[in-house]
Amino acid sequence: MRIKWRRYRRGRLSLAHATVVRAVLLIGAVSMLVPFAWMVCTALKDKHTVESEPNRWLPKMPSAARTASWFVDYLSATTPDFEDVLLRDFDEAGHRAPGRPSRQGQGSLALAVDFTARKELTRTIDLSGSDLPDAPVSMLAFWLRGDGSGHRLRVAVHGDGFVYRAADDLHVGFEGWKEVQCCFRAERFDPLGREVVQLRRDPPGDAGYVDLAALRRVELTVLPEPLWSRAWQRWTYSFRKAWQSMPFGRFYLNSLFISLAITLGQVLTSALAAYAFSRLRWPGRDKFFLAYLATMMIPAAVTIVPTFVLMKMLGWFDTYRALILPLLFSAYGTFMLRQFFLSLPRDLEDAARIDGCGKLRVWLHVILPLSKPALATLATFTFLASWSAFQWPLFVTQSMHMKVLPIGLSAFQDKFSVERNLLMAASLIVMVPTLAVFLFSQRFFVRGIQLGGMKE
Amino acid sequence: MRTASSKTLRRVDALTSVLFCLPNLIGVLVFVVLPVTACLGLGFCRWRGSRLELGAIDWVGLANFAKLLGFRTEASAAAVVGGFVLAGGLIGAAAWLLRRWSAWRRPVRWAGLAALLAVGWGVRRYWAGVIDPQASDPLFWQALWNSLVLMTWGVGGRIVLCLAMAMLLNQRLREIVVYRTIYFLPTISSAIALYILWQALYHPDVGVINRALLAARGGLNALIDAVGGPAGWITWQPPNWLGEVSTAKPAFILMGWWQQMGGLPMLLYLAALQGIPEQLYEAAEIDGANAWQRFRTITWPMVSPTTFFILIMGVIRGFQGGFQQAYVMTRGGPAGSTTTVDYFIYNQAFFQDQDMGYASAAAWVLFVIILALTLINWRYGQRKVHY
Repeated sequence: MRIKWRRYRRGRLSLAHATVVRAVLLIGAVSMLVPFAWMVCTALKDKHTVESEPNRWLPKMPSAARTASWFVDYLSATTPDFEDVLLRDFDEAGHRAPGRPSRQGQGSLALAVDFTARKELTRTIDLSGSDLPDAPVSMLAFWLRGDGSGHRLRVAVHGDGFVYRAADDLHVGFEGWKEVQCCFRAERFDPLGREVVQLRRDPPGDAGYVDLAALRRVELTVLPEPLWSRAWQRWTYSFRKAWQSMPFGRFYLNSLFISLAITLGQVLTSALAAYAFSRLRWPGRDKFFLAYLATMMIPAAVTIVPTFVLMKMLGWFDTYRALILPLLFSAYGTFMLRQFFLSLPRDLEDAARIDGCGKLRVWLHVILPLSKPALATLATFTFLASWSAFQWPLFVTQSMHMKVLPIGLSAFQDKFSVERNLLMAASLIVMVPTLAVFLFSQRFFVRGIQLGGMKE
Repeated sequence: MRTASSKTLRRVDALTSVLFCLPNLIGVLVFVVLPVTACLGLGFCRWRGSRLELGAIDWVGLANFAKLLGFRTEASAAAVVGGFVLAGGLIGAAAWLLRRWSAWRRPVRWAGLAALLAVGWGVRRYWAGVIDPQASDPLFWQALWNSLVLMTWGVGGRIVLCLAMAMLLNQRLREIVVYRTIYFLPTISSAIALYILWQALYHPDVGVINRALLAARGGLNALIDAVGGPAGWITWQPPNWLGEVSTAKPAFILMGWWQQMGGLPMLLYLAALQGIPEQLYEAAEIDGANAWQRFRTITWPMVSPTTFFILIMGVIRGFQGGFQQAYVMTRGGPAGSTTTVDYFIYNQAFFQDQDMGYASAAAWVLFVIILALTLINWRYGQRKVHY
């Protein structure tokens, strides 16, 4: 069964007929593409735009005006026990950060600059006056109200004889209030969608906790950014944030490794068994094969629970073994290859045998090379199935570094369920490379599906 | 001498065969046969807790099945088993009768049907003494119903939509490959990503679907207003798709159609359509058949093997599927209205009660149902198919 794409039924369509067909196809195609388009558009926006302007499709351009007008509030420090120590609660006039107790006459620190007049703006928050408790802290945090302009914020924390400088400037492409955490220690993954600024010690010393009493001042510098860079930073924000928030690279490697291992193993064991079932004679072969086939009818739910128990008992829970080993054996693959092997001519095999080949050698040098298309089809199927497998990896893995792509995406969804722009960006991160590969090899896949799908 | 050597040869042959089969055989034994047996065994046990201590396994007999299906507690095991045998016999008899239906003369037909009804009545009466619907686990029956609804609409819609799509794509147009690729996109996209996407599309306030419905409502109201009707005449509110019991399943079904429309079933139909000989259509046209008659008498019978294949696979997969959607989009809610059987099983085993015994019993019930569905499909469906 193969589709001959070039052979069309009947001659040219009449104009009316063709127009109707085209119109229907076009409507269908639009309804197919609209969700994808929305996905891409949402991933390019920031949370504030997604929530406040639900009818807007295209992402916003950053304003061409060379100004930044931000507000800073609630500078606090976090102890290793995750207790917050409030350092500064600004009382200049301005907007207030949400969800905080408001006191009469208090506002926030304004960071407003016009870059046509000056090159940069530095505001210093002096900490030496207040008597701070003598406690180690792991990070400083403050609330920042962005205006979506996309200019840069540089953070530096000065202490007695040392400076902590930000490893990267923060691109303030977001709108509305957001918490910014400046970490003294290396903390890459922030699960709660806050902005994270990594601080580096200068001169280099042991990066760890910093004594609160040794801090002198915090310097916030606003720097201009060219328009194209601001647009780029703003539109790729969700992608960068999603990529930083979870180890998608690791998920990709896990998925690739597991899928390749399962595909290789399944094709190998299936080809061996299929040879015995099709070309060797032994008592009870066909009855046995029928029993083998019957196992295909068993629902996954029946085998998953006891197999999970088995994995737990063997201590294989949350390992690659549990992800790979139970899936190496497939009745379907055996069935498919057996049908193909039966259709191969016997003469070649006999000739090889007369020449003194053993059975293993016949299998390796005669049968396998002859059945490349069937092997490729089975491999395609197996790879696709294990690439998108969800249930089994979900149940047998727990730690972040063992997750495969679909599970990682699902975990991402659990953590960022309200940030639709991040969800869409993460979905695209998972989807697009796979999609690209499939689109390039589409013809091959379609053929494989045709070949295998109707065999049953 | 000769017999001996051929015997030895045969023995060697058998031994090699076993060696060839061994890798796969061990795997199937350890990961299929052993679990299926263990699952049946666990079905009669109670084994709770995530630590899975062997000492915590309690033998509870038929209690799990009784809870699932709602046996009366005083019904004996023999009565339960007998009831199953009777019901199975009834289903078998019904299938056999339906198969022979057209072969019999009319009085025999009606006599057979009457006999079947009589037996059925007896089984029902007997069953009423064994089964007590009040005592059963309501969520399990709800899950069965959900699976049935989702599967029926899913398979039905798939057959109609995919055949229509295949007929559309089986036309002589230059840009057809582009359309085929577009319709194929959901099939090759990550399913989890699509479910997350559709969850956002179904959002009650900011989801695209409800925004579009609201926009349509506003447009209609403006139109009514323009022709002099009452202002704001249509007050209909778009539903909270995944948040309401009445719309959660339709939302799933719609999404499934969107996902499946240009997928593998469509490709199978396309292949089938291309295999129909041209002469049939030409002959029909000469005989003056219109488009509907050509479809009814040529296309539909000629693609019936494909329809049958899609039906069987759809029923089997549909009845045991639905976990991913439910897990990603609704966690089985609202009020259990998207809990399918496999979500119920996995929820029992891994998330909620972590009762391996109860989950195993439910899995076996699912197994039996799927077995029955497959057999019915095979027996009854093959008669309808023109190869």
